Amino acid sequence: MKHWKNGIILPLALLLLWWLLTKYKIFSPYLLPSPQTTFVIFGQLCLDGTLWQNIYVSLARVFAGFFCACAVALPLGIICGRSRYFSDFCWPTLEFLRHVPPLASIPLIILWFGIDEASKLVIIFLASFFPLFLNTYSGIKNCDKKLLEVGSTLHFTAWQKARYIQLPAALPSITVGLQLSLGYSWRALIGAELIAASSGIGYMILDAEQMSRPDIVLVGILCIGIIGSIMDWSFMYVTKLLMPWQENSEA
Amino acid sequence: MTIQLNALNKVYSTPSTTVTALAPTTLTFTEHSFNIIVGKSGCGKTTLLRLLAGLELPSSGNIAFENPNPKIGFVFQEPRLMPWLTVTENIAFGIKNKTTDTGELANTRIPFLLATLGLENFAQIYPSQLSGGMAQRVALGRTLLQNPDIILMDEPFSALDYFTRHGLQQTLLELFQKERKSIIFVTHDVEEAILLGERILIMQKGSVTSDISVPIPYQRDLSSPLVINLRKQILIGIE
Repeated sequence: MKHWKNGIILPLALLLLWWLLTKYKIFSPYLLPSPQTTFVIFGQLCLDGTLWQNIYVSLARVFAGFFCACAVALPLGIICGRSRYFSDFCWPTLEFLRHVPPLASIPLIILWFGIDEASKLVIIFLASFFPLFLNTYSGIKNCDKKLLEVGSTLHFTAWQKARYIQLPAALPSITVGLQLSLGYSWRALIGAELIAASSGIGYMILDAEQMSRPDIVLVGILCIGIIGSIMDWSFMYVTKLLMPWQENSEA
Repeated sequence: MTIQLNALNKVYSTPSTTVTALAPTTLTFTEHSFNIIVGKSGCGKTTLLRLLAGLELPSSGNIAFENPNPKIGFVFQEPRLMPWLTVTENIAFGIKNKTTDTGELANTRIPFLLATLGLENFAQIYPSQLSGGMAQRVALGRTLLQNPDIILMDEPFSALDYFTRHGLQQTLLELFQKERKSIIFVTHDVEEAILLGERILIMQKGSVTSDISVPIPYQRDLSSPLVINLRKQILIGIE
């Protein structure tokens, strides 16, 4: 409760600063609309359904890209962590791709995947793949050798060691990867919606920019931040439920 | 189950040097015996134990078990519990590889072990919430649930305080007298060796240099002349 109270101080202070800046017209209202104007337009966008529609489309894109990344990064990370040969085989290629920002590939992505949903999914996929892959890989690879020896003394097969020791031991690391990956997916949304989108929060922001509506831009930015935080908190909450031993070890 | 070591040898090689961890050793461990291996740090005690457990491969020589498929349990110096499992789940961890029905084990043997090891009130606790002594009891329970023919123990009580160690030594002795498992117990603590062992092997620089039988009944009094003499004998052997 105390942490929550402490955490609310800075946003309130920023809100106050924003209000003061606009009240005394330090910035032009065309550049920085007042909090009142922004909240009024927020209410209008909520009431006419525009905002919900855009949020829904963006969330659908983010989750689709995120789940595609999970479907590839999790098994690949586990296999690379388990097999030295496979890791050696994949590593140079993955290392190259890791250093290429997804936004740098947008022209090629448009050429290859067109301007429909596929190209947006690919950008979100590329943004969220590496945090999850690398965390899964290191979680499996760095499993405590002493725990694996316990498996040997209990006559576990290689599969049983992977299933009952390496995978659960890597879960905290995999969870961090999932959390980062979800955050990166959400951050990549604007990049994805730069590609000829006609809906979504990113589209709403870009459209407002072209229509000189900074109030709508601010609503979009606030929504991205708030939804991102809610996703992160929800994820951490579920993680704590699924891994009670983590909670205990922190205590 | 009898174990025969035939010129068992372990050498570690690096590009610049070769270290003999265990000189060729020929030895027999008889059935239902409590064997102690005592010696200074780095004398090869743990290497011998790891070779017996199959955690290391010998450089030469071999180990012949009376039963071709021996059931060997190992208790490490640290508890090595799975942090994501509760006490009960950790004890039951070793039966995950059993293809046969493990319901009977779970229903009868686990509660028995929890009671014997004084863990009844900690059954649903995670390892991070346990003291060192409790965690080592869980590790012992995990090994005992396997119902092994031989239990290998690598300085299992060395990190514990005097009172916890004494309690666990008594628990181990009771279990040994009740179940008569073959135990090979490595320690650098001479008093622990005297309190527990029926047979004490002294190791120095990778070789077993003395083999001492201890014909003193259990609940040994450390101040009795017999024990004091034995202690002197062991200390001279180690030095």
